[in-house]
Amino acid sequence: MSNLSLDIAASALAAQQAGMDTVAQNLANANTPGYVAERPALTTNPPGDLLGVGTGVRVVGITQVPDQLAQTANQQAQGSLAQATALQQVLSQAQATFPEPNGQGISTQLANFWSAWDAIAQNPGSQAPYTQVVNMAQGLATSLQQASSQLSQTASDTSAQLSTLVANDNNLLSQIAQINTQIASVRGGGGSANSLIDQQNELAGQLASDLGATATTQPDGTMSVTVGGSTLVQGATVDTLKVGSVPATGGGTATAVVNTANNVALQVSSGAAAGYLNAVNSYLPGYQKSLDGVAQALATTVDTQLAGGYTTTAGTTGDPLFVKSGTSGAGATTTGITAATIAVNPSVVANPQGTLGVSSVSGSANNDASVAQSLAEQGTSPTGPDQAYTSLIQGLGTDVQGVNAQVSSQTSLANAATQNLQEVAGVNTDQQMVAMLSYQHAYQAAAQVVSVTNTMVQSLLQAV
Amino acid sequence: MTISSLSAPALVPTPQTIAGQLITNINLDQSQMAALQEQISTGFTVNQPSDNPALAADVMTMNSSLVRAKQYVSNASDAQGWLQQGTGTLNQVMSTLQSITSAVESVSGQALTGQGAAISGIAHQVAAGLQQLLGLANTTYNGQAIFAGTGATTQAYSSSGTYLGNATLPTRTVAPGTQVTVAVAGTTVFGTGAGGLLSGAGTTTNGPAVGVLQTIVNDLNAGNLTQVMNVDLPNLQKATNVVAGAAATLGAAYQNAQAFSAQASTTQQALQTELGNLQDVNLPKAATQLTEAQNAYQAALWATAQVSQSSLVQFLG
Repeated sequence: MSNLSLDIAASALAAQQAGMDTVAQNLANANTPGYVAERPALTTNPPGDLLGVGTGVRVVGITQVPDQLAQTANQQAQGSLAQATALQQVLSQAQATFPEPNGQGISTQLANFWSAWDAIAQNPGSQAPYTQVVNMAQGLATSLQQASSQLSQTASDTSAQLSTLVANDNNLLSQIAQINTQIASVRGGGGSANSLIDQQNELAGQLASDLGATATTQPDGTMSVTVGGSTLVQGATVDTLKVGSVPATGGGTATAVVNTANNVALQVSSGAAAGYLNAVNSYLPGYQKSLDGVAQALATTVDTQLAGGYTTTAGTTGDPLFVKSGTSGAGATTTGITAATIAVNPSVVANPQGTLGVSSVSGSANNDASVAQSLAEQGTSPTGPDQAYTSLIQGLGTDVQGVNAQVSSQTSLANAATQNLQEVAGVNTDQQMVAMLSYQHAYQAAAQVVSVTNTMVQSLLQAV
Repeated sequence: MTISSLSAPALVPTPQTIAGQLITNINLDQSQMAALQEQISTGFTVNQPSDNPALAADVMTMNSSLVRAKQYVSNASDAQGWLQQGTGTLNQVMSTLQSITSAVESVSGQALTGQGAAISGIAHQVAAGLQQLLGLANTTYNGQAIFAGTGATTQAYSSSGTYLGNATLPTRTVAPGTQVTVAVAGTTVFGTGAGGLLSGAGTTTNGPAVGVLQTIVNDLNAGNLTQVMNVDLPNLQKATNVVAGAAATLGAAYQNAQAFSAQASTTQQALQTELGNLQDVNLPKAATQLTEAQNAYQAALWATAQVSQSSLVQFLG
């Protein structure tokens, strides 16, 4: 005869031992990133005969705390935060291009440039004020060129960062596909894939931050990854991404993350990649365009006035001051000027007094400077460069302020989501201590059952 | 039955989540302190456009206005310089003309007929006065002849009394859209042709291009005293009146320029004050805020140091 009590006590000892093991494992991984707390799934053994006493307990598996909802919410929050942070990083760099409002930026240069024309009016017969105006014009042209090239540099830095990010993500995607293969084989052998799932969650979290990727666990335990509706990982199959150029909606081309399997651009709407793409496709070209507008407004305002004037040295028509770089003389190009191509007319640099049409008196040498006086008043012109520049700076400042606010609100959302995930899935030492006590007590009680059963059998043997 | 459930367990903060929250708070306090320290060290409330885009735009516009206002002050003081020089010169012209007039008038008071030496002396005196006037007419300010209009010349009149300038007058911008004329043309002061004071200087034969003073010299030298008294002297009076009229015009312009100059300085001051109000840090306020931020930072640090000092682990075993 088999002693049922001893069998039941033996199964209890094994089950409580498994419980103690999970507590030890949980406590060991209390600070492991991505670790999800585990617990034993226990079930009652069915009765062995018609009397109906069960036959003890058994461990059907070690399960992870169900945390899929918290995982997904956290990944989405991290994606939005990464997007805002990436945009903030690029826009702050763009803002640093312009030392405004207190520095010696373009606005101060413009103000001094306009006032310099009054110096000509104060002494039209002297060479010095003309040279000063030309020097200031060169300073302005240089500043505009530098600002333009810094914005271009920011754009190319951003593209380079995006390429690095995508190369890294290709690696993460193939790691997920590899782990999918391992999960399939572990599950096939009836083993626990918990630690593999933890690793995949970590990888999926990074992909959500980078690309706004969504990870879904399939019924077979493998993980699928999609970005903007396009599946990148399914089972062991993985697509490779690259940064490419695609036709833009408003004409021209736009930078995009392209799936090399089908050459289709991903609809990236979250993650750092979305921030970078938004910066290079929308924000930076916008600033560049506004800056070009400032350069053209400067050239148009100054050149139009000068074209209506005459030189003080001979009373003849002068040359334009701001021209497209590479052109020179009276017929130099004054349209289609951008911040990158604005230059001071070389013929004016060579002979400022003889080529600037600052006088309204034609036909002979004179000391009139009414055109210069009128130019000195252009700083407040509603179509002039000052207005265009101020609105560029205000727009840029507003964008950076907006993205700063976005980063700070997304940070608290992401922190809350992480905290939520930690509280759902993380290891709470106090809870584990209590669980340990329960397992300890149950184990001691089961041992007591063994001991008492032993005594019972002993007493029976002595009676015989 | 299984003891594992499918629903998530109750949310309980773990040491990791508590620490994470505390670190977030510390970072927040630290960035607040950094922002305040930047304000205090630069002295400006807006250090990047993103600090306050609208205020940044205001500061930029205000800065431009201030640069412009400084230029208006400079323009107005230049205008004052020109006009002061002009009125001063015209005062000297008037006194020279008065001494010439009294010399010429002395011809009538005495029976000079036949006294060639005395008449020739008066003629010399008038001729010398004419030269003096030519010198005054060529007065310059900052290298520019003030009675030459905007002519490209350092002299308003040649030594023979020919006007070298033009009729367009120089102006200075002293306020937005406001220009003051800073000189009068030589022809307005000294006249032209036969009625002019300087015309035909040195020409010994009378003619339509020979002016009042030279005609007097010529007539005196010819002994034509009646002509001097009856025709030339009234002409000289007329010419003197013209000079007096021009002097009055310049004087009024000078007063006008003074007023504009004062106004430009006031405007500059006002803009400077307003700009200061806009962009300067309120130091006591910022310092107080910094102290508060430092306290909050220290409190957050303290709270972090207290975390997880105790747990159930200590009470078991």
